[in-house]
Amino acid sequence: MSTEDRLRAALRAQAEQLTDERLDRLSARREAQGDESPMDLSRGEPTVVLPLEMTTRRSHHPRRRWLAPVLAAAVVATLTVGVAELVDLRGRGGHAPISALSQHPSPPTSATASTPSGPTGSATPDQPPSQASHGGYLARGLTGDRASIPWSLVDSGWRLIRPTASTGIPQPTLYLYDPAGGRYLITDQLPPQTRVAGWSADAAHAALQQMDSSGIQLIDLHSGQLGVKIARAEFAAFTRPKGTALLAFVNSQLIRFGLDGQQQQTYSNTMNGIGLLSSPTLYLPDGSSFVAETTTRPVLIGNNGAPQAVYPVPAGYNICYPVKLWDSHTLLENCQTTQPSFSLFLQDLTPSSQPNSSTPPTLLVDGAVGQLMNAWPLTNGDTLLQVYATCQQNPYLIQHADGSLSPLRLPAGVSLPTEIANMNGNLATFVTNKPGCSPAGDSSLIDYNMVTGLTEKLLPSPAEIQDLPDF
Amino acid sequence: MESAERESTVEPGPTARAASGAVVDIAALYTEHRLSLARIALLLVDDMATAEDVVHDAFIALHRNVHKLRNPAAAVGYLRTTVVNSSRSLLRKRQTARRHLSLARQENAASADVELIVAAEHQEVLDAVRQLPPRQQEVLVLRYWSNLSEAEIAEALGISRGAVKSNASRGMDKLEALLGANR
Repeated sequence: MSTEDRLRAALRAQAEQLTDERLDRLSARREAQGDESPMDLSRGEPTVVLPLEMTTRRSHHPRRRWLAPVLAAAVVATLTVGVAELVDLRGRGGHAPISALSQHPSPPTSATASTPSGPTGSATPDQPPSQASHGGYLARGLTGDRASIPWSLVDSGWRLIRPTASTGIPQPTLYLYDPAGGRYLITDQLPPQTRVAGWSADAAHAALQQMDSSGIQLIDLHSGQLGVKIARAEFAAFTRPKGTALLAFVNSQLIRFGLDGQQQQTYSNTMNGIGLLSSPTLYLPDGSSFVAETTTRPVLIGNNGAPQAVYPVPAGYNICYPVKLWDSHTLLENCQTTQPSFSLFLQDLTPSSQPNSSTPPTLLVDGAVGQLMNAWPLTNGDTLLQVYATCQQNPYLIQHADGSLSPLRLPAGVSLPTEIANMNGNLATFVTNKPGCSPAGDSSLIDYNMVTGLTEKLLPSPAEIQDLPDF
Repeated sequence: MESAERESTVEPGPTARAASGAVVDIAALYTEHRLSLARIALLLVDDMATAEDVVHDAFIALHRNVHKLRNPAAAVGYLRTTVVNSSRSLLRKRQTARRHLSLARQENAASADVELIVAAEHQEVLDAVRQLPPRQQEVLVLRYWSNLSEAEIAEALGISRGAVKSNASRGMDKLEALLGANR
């Protein structure tokens, strides 16, 4: 029996134990318990009385009352408590009131955040854009043609953006945005059913992933022409330092291809017992090696396919997987316990004399604050954290130098649900009202400087970024 | 007969208007989709009572937000998204509360109402699924239990179809590796 068949059978075996009759009995039991019972974290576990700020009112009401206005108010309260729970768990004994959050250092308020001015002081959305360029950049609001792109300036801070219509359908246009918010049209003839999956470090090529699994297609950004197509491949990474080749998975086998589509190297699928290689794969800036995910831990692999380092999983955790490069020689990794709990660690990528003798990672943020997904260092010493959260909860926290936490105050024009699509220094690019999470599907793309509090809308609503690779 | 008993516990008629002005019959949605949604939640939180709770809250959220729905047909998708997100959130709360209160896991005698009994060969697979990152678990459950398309999963999870494909592929690869390691 295949793994897929085993999975289907196991899921069916568990799911079908839940019947209408059992659901009715559970509802009846809740009704009998009323609101007197404390938060019941899970059947089969001890009943836990939580500190007040952590207590979320569960819906122990009988169904006949679930449309009552009082319940609607309770839902609002429940959703409001969500962010406070994330924050209060760290460093305050779990007893701090929500109002205490504002006493901690935090990014500027929405009042200051609404001040319209771009990172380079370009035109505001309410004013006609200046025709003048700023430091070689096109003024915000202007669109230039591909021939006028100052390629020598294209570096970190530039972005490839593909707008998406309010219907959720990616548009066939691809723009190159400069740091000032001006943009250049690369092409208006992107093939349908693709997404921008990667951008080469020399800025010359982008990889388009076919959504129907038919493969990868390259596009030459200088000419706007579509290039070679690699069949049945799933994009993993461009090589570094320039991007003259790419890594892709073909039938779960990691392969390096040249930009001409020729196969250059096939990597061992098991890494001599370390585990199967899978995404993400992260090339080191010097191009000497790349980090890959395996079944249990990240590994550093040389261009010749030899493992250079097998990074240890810290004590108490059972799996770690790479998130991104924290800097040129440090990996941000997400380590998981069986509970599960997710903590963020920093792993020094320096190869050791023996692949298995690498230095253990150091803890960056403990998973007690929530199911951590990502982190970004800010120039003022704070760290921006992202945790798993419901659509109605703010998934972003600021960890201050003293270890305290506060929720990220969302900039003007950004409402939940939202996600950060790109970070460059202190500049976060938000996708607001992420489709698929909200009944209202409109979205927009907004730049927010987390230290200065300045915001700029890159694309007006309705619009969505399809993918936003950075360097 | 059983069906009639169920219907007697649901008050008829709660409806609301979507943004388009169309009427959304929430009671009918509840009757029709409660069980399927609860089963998705059960597969994500591994606990019947919590699953029932998650679905209950999802319908409350729908009632509160139904006026924002442009298309009443999107109500089921909205419920599914809420169930997945709430399940993930509850897992997080469950874990953080355990850690915060230094509670060791204890085995209480579960009643017949909520006890989950699956054959050993299925339990092995389910245990392996629990070791996957949440996003991969969600994708696999929606794909292999709910039989949703990539587009539907992408909508439910608020991620791109490419991310669905990637999470499914990586999840299956890890699952195979985990199950293979146990042999």
